[in-house]
Amino acid sequence: MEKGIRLDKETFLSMTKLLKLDEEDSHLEELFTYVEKLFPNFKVAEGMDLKEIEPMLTLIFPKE
Amino acid sequence: MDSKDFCYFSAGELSRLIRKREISPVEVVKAHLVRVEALEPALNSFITLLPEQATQEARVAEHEIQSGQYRGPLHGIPVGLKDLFYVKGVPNTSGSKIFDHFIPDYDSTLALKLREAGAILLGKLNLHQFAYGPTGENPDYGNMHNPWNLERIAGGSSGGSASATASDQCTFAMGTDTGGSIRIPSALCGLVGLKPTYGRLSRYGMTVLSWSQDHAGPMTRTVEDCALVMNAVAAYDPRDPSSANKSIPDFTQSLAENIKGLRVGVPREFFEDPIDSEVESYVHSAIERLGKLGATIHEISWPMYHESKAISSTVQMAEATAYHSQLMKQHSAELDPKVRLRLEAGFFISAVDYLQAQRARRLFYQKSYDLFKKVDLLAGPTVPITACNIGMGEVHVGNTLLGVIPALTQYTRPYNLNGFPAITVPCGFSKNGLPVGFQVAGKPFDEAMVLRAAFAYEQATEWHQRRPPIPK
Repeated sequence: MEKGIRLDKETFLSMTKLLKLDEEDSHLEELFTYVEKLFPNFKVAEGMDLKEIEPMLTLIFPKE
Repeated sequence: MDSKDFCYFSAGELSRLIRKREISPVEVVKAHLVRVEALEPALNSFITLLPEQATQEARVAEHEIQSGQYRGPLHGIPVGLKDLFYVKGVPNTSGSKIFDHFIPDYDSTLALKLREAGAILLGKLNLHQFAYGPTGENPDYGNMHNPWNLERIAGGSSGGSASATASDQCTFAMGTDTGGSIRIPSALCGLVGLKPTYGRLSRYGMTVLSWSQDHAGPMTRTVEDCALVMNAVAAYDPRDPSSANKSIPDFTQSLAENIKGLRVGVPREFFEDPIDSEVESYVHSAIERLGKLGATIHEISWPMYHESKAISSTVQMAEATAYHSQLMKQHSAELDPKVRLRLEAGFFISAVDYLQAQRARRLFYQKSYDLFKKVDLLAGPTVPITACNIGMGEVHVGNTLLGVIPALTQYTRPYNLNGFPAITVPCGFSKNGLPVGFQVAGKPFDEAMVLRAAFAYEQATEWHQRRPPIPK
């Protein structure tokens, strides 16, 4: 897990505007808390050495 | 024989009686409908019941069998389908009132296969909304309840499939599994649940959650039943782009083989995760039992195991949000608030995050595949706890407080990410009477080996014979 990576409130709020999410305060606060907690998980592959993975195969699941 | 007893037989047992014409599918279906009526108020396993259709289908089955047209071991056997498998002419809610009036005009491949095999559809089963959650809680259709303790979760997302099968309301059910949704409720309700290899069973006509990790599979009371269902439904399906054109074995054949000499790997990483001490003890005993049955046990290390769970959940969240994005624009206020939160969180995953997670997934697949050069199977826990109370956001796992979602999915997600086949079988009961699951996994398309080990374990123990403390 990339523990150093964080989502700050300002970035979150600007993204919610772009995404046109419900701007009602209590819902946004709950969503921020949830996303802030998960955000390092989203970046889990950052820092992994993925050179040996052929990019074209990324979205093709093996059938062997 | 009391007709009530028909509900407690496995598909294997029922089919032997039906084939010999000692009992009729009409009697079997009638007994199940009576039981459903009695238990539904407490368990809430079904969203749609089909008593007239089931009775009519049972009459047809009876006539076919009497006239010598026996279709096979599922002929006349009552089944429930998770309410996300399309059945022509029957409502398909996917666990949301938004789709209360959606009636598909075609059959999912699995519904069709089961009908061709002669199984009788009793109804469509309750689920976590859009299959997006592992607890089996649903504000639209009501929470599913665990037959072993009605205050506890049935697990999810295939919670109705688990509670109905464990409480003998249907002989078996079909579920789906994106992060553990067959294996988690099966483990928490004391059932056998198989997530086959990605590509083994068709997903045509099935509501999508995360297309690259969604699997369909059987939930049964015995390993033999799992094999019987696999024989009926496994097939290449050109209508499903993920379907693999692989040879299909007779899944019941491997059950007769013993497990002497099989190499069972136990990743040490499983026990670096938080786990309840009672669950851990039962799982170690189950592994020892495989050893006593002739397998050799090897402690191994599974590279990327710890990272695999975050990779899997990132892929799942991005795909689920992409799939449901239109729905969210039009119906966000009507969604289960917890499901809505998860769907909205998916918007914060960038395209780069998703693609990097998929690349990391490929690496995890290779590292998992390499393990099978040294072992034939992997064994460990299915869920680190027994069923928790309904409504809990966090749970104690040993001494660690975890969110209920990461806790329930910690041992199941890795097999959704690599797509390898994995089964859960009951391996014990906690002091307060709740089932514990034991997970066995194999290499891709080797469900036969997984079933063989699970069957050997099941036959050497008596856990699968215990019944929930609900009225007979």
